[in-house]
Order: sequence, then C-alpha cells, then structure tokens
Amino acid sequence: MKTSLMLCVALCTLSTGAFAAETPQAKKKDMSAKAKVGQEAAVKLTAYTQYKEYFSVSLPEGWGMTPTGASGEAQKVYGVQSFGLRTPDGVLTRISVDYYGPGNSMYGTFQSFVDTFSKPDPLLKIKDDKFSAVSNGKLSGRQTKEFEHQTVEFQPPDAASPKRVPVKEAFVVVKGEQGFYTLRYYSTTELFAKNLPLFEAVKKSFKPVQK
Amino acid sequence: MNKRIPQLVALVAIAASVLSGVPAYAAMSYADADKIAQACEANFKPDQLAPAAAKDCSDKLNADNYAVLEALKASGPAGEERARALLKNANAILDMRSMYESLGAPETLRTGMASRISANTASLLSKSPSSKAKNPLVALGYYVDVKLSQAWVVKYMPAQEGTFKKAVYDYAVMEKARKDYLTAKGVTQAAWDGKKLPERLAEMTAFADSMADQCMSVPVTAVDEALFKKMVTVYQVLGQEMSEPKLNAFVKYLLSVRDNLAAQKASGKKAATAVTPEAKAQVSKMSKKLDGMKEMSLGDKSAALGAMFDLSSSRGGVVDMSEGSKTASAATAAKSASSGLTAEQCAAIASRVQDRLPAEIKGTKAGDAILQFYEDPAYKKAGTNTMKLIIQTAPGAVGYWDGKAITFSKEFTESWMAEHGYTAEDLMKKDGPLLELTRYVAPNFVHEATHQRQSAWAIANKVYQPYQQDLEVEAFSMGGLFVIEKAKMEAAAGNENYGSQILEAHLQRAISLKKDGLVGITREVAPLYQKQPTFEGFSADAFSVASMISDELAARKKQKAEHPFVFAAQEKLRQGIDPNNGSLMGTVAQRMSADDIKGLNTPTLEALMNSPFKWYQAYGDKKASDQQWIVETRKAILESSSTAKTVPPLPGK
Repeated sequence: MKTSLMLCVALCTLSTGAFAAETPQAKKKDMSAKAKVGQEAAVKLTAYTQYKEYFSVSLPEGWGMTPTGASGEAQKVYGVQSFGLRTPDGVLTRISVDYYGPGNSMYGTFQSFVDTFSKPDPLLKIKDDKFSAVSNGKLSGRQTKEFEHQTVEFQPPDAASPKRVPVKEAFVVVKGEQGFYTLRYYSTTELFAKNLPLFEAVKKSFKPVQK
Repeated sequence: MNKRIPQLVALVAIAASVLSGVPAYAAMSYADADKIAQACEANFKPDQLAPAAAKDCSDKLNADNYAVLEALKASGPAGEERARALLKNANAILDMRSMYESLGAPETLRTGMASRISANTASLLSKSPSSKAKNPLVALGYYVDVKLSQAWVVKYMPAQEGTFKKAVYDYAVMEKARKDYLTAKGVTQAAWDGKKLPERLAEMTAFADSMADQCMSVPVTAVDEALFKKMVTVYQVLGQEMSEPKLNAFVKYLLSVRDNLAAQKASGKKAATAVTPEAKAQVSKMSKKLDGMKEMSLGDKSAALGAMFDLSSSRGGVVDMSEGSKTASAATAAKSASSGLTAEQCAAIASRVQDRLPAEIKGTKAGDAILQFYEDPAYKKAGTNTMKLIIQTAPGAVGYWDGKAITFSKEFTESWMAEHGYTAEDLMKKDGPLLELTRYVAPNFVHEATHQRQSAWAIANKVYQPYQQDLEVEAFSMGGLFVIEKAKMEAAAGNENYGSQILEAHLQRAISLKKDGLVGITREVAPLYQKQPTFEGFSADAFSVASMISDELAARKKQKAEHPFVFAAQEKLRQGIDPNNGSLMGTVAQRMSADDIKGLNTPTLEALMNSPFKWYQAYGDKKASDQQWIVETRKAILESSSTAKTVPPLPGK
C-alpha cells in the first residue's frame, strides 16, 4: 500500500550501507556505540500478568510487550513477546514465552516443535543457517529440550537489497502433560552473550501453571 | 418516537434471524445487555480504565454476532448512543494499552502519543463551546497530561514506565544536552515537570532546530569529514524532533556538504584547504559541541536514517523538499538518479511478467485465492479487480499497491537484472529470463494483490478500511502461504532449489509462517508497522465522532421543531456528501471535528451516524474469517503429503 511504501522507501533507502564509508577508527567507535545501543545493562524484571492461567513470568523492565492476542488465540497459543531496543542494524532483541495448549493448530506434540525448530527446513533453506545439538535440561522442575539456531535477519525486511544481519536464537522447550511451553531468546549474534543474563533471569522467574 | 417501536424492531429482527438461520442478537434480552453494559461502564470511570476489564468488555460486545450492541440499539436512540459510547470507550482503552504494549522505543512511543494528541488537535484548539476531543481518553487528559498518563502506566503497565519516562522527556532521565538547553532558557526542573506533553514536544523541537541552526552556521566548504559525521549524527538523533522546514533545510545542507566532500575526494584535493581561519575556528568549536551529543541514544532511529549521507554513495542528491511529510521528503531526497530501464522497456517487461504471473501462482491455495479474486464477476462489474502491473521508480522498495495498480520497483528489477546478467532485451524477448524474474517477484505479487483485494472488499461493502497492522498481517501471511506451498510443489516436480529462486526475505517470512504460524507473522509485522494506528484506535475515533454527530442531530431536531424556517435556511447552506462513499468513513473516523460536522447536511449526518456500526461489524467479521482461513490453510498445506486438494473454502471476498 502506498503508505507502507513511503515508510518503506524512506527506511529501506536510507538504511542501506549506513556505515559503509567509515574509517577503521570510526568503525571501531561505531561498534562500541552499537553495543551500547543494543545492550541492556542491569537485569531488572517486572511481572507479566496476562495469561496467568497458563504461566507466570517476569520480563525485562522497560521493554515492549506484545501478547499473542487474537492471532495466537486463533491457534491456541498463549504467550507474550517482549522486546528491547532496536540495534543500529535494525534488529529487535526479543524474549518470548508461549504456551501451546492441547489442540493447538501449530504443533501436536512437544517433540514435533523440537524437531521443527532444531533442524533445517528441508525445502526452505536460508544460507548460513546453523543448528546446535539438542540437549536435555530442567526448568521449574520440568524436563526441557534446549538448542540454538544461528541464521540471518534481513534488514530492512522489505527492502530490495536488505542487509544480512547475523542473529542467534536460543530455545528452551518445557514439557507438559498435554501442552508445552517455549521460552525463546533472539538477538544479533554480536550482542547475544551480552544480553544472555536477561534471558537467564527470565527463565528463573518462569513458572508453568498448566500440567 | 413511540417507545414500543424499538421493541417491535427487535422482535422483527429476532424473527428474521430465526427464519434465516443466522444466529444473531436474538438470544440477548435488553436486561442481559444492560447488565454487561453496566459492567463496562463501571470501568470507564476516570479512576478505573483498566485494560483487562476493557478487553473483557470488548470481547462481550463482539460476542454472539454483536448481540449486546444489537439489543441496546434496538431499545431506541438512547440505547444506540449507549452502544456507541461502549465501543468508543472500550476501544480507546485497548488502543492505549496496545500503544504502550507494542511500542518498544521511547521515540516510537512518543510518536504514538503525539499522533493521538494531534488527531484531536482541531478539537482541542477550537473555541467552539461544542467542540471536544474525539478520543475519550484525550478528553480526560490522557496523552496530553504527563502525570495523569504516567499514573495509568504505573498502575496498569509498570514494565513500561522506563520507556514512558524517556518518551515524555522526564527530567530525571533526560540527556545533559537537553537539560543544558532548558537551563539556558531559564526553564527549571519544577517548571518542566509541570508542562504538558505538547509543550514539551514544542520545546524539544526548538532544541533540535537550534542544533540544526548551529550546524548550518558552519560554511558548507569548511566542513571536514569528521565534523560531517558528527552532523549526520545530529540528524539521526534529532531529525525526527525538528520542525519540518528546519529538517528540510538541514537535509539540503548535509547533502551539499556530502557532495562537496565527495567532489574534493574525487579531485584528490585535501578537504577544506581553502578555508578561512574564522571558518576553521567555527569547525573546531562545532566539533567540540557535537561531542556532547555522544550520550544521546540513536535508539530506534539509527537503522532507518543516515545512509543518504553515505559518502560512498553514488546517489545524485536529487532533492525536492517543497512538500510532503518528513518521511516523504527524506525519501525524495534519497531518490535514485539511476539510469537503466527506459519507460518503454519497463512497460514491456511489466506486461510480460503480468501475463506470466497467473501461471506461476496457480495451483497454490493463496495463489488460487488471488486468481479467484481477479476473476470475480462482482468485482469486475465494480472495476476493482483489474490486474495492472507497473514497473516504475521506487528506490528501496520491492513493490506496492497504490489503489490503482501494483508497482514493482524499477531499481529492484534493475538490480536483479545486474545480478543475473540479463539485459532488457533478454527480458523482453526470451522466455527463460522472464520466467526467472516472474518467479522472483511472485511472492510480492501475492502480497500486493492481497492489498488490492482488501481495497476491493472495502469498496464492495461500502465501508472505510483504515490502513492498519491487520492488513499487513494478512498480506504477509498470503505471501508466506504461497511460498510454503510453491516450494512443496516444485520439490514434488523435482526442483528442490525453489528457495534460492526467490528473494531471501520472502523465504524467511515463509519460514516464520511455517514454523510460528500467524503468531510469527504478527510478531514480525507489529514492530514494522508500529506507527500505524490500531483497529481499536480507529474504532474509538469513529464512534466518538458518531456520538458528536448524534448530539448535533439532536440539536437540529430541536431547532427544526422550534424554529423551522431557521433550520431550513441553515440546511440549504450545508454540504451534502454521498453516504454510499465508503472512503468517507475515513474522514469521519480521523479528521472530522465538531465544526466540520456542523457544515454537513442532515441526511448526510444521519447516514454517517450509523456507518461506524456497519464498518465495525463488517471489518471485525472479515478479520476473524481471514485469520481462520490463514490458520486452516497453513495447517492443510503442512499436513498434505503432496499438494493438497482439500482447500478450505475461501472466505467471502
């Protein structure tokens, strides 16, 4: 639509190669600026109260929060995505917590979710995708499967020639008797380790309600 | 009016719904509707406004085919007004919740608050005693009154307080450069704390403008590369806060500096060799001053701004700053002066791609839905489903629907041609290259054709369709569904490389839809379109305006009874608008103030007053059926072993 075009024209055109002409020194300075912009300093959480019949969790204070809302409810998926500042590359650091209820239209079983997200899609392959091995763990007294996925994000996403920004996502899939929970942390590869304590704090605060 | 008439109307409606088999509002008695309405109204008290209660209210109002609303409307004009008020208030609270929930950065939250204030500016500034803010929360002081807004945030969304404080320029979290500016102007912290948001925004615009002025005081030829980069940072950090004329002037200035530096580089001259000592001193002073900007966060702006001043860019700096929004101006400034495809070549290639696209998308559920739309006789009669493809300049974009045609970007096409080593002749005369290009753009075509279908639906249903996030969620989902199924079909036919034959970004979105469903798409789209209003925001405005119209009609009714000649004389001077014009709803929802309403004749107002209900219900139903179709279609595609034959029925398009 035209409105989206105007926005897109501005965003897409203006963002490509923003730092292309910088000297190494300037680039070094810029990288530290990037780290500053994307990095969340102190671990301070606030309780999230929507969907409390499914789980309780605390999320980073000051971050945006979007519940799954109608689109999730249409699929019997109940959760929230919390997001921090956008990095200079345009990537949003995100932490999400979701409950996939019985009869959800997405994944029949805990294992089918793990299989889908921990392996490359046989038909839709993104160049440079990497998947870690799946490990077993425990969270809030429940069994978990944990793994990481490295890929790229295209920024701006609807540009004709978007930049390929390396990103990494960590998954913790928590087993339930009927449904299951997922906790996900998504960040640029560059800032992944720096923001990881936030995700660890969110994990610690997580309490499943449904069996 | 006879009090029994509404009851009769309700009985007729109940009978009609029973006979037609459509479950309507028949089951809801007025007493039950009143009970739900009272619970909603208890939350609309200024000291309440709880988002959870508003959501619960909204769910109940929308349930069972809008049974509560219909029962209230059937009870008479007072009930109808009550229904409007319920929708207006519940949606205004939900819109506010959504704004705080989904806006991640302070800058975007600030924009969200400012846009809700500006939508009511005409009303707020009007001296007419009947004038009032459309948005009921703005009328109560929200958005405008920082303390009031903050109290609501603290009460209901404490996690957002930090972002809120930065958005409203809370003194405690404000950067030093801003505080220094205020101190120099004699504005104390106490005075600042007492200022409303519009006053704070105006002050910060003055601050941003002053920074631009200071930069521009340095002669273009004196600016060296280091200072230029600092100035670009000023643009990046403060550009959005500058007044439009100042921003335009600053952009022009920066482009001039960029061109000057580029010319110096090209000629091998050292920068600023011919600069006077006074200018050198100015450069040094300015450079030091701008070092103080370092603490200011680039936040959400950094990814979007800055590249037009890239010194390595070959862009020609074609600038037309005469009109348009900040975004449009910036886009124009960055317009490529590319050579390449001629207008004739663009037309010829577009025509060939258009001819080939139906075959490319046929056989997929999303593609078939789009083709069905283009064949729909009802839309053909209205002339709203003509497939028209254009290739024209649209730097940075892939494509867009503008209400009349689908455009593919000329620059995008040229870049693809260069990457694949094809000439215009290849695309105009050979089938192979043409098929490759068609495949490459097909997912985007499905996306933009979905927007065309949305427009056609709104016109056919004579309702206004506000541009908001849900439209993009549907369009991205349709594009994603197409890619998922096409990849499957191609693999079955022996081509396992389909993913490498389309734009990677389209591939990634399809993966999101495949793995995360509608939630994945919604989560990707919401941050991209944060500045677009929500459906709830539009609803709140539309029903607020309808309430104002209702007040005006009541006043006219009284006038007609008491002073018929005066009424008739005034009515002659008032303007009439075709109430069947669906896009009029947009004006009603967004821009109409109490003064505007006074200028419209009575039949127009009568028609307009009822249109929000029609729009709200029609759009709400469509949204639900679209979502259901996407969810079911995704599932059907993934569960089918080959290309599924069991296509869910298409929603009524």
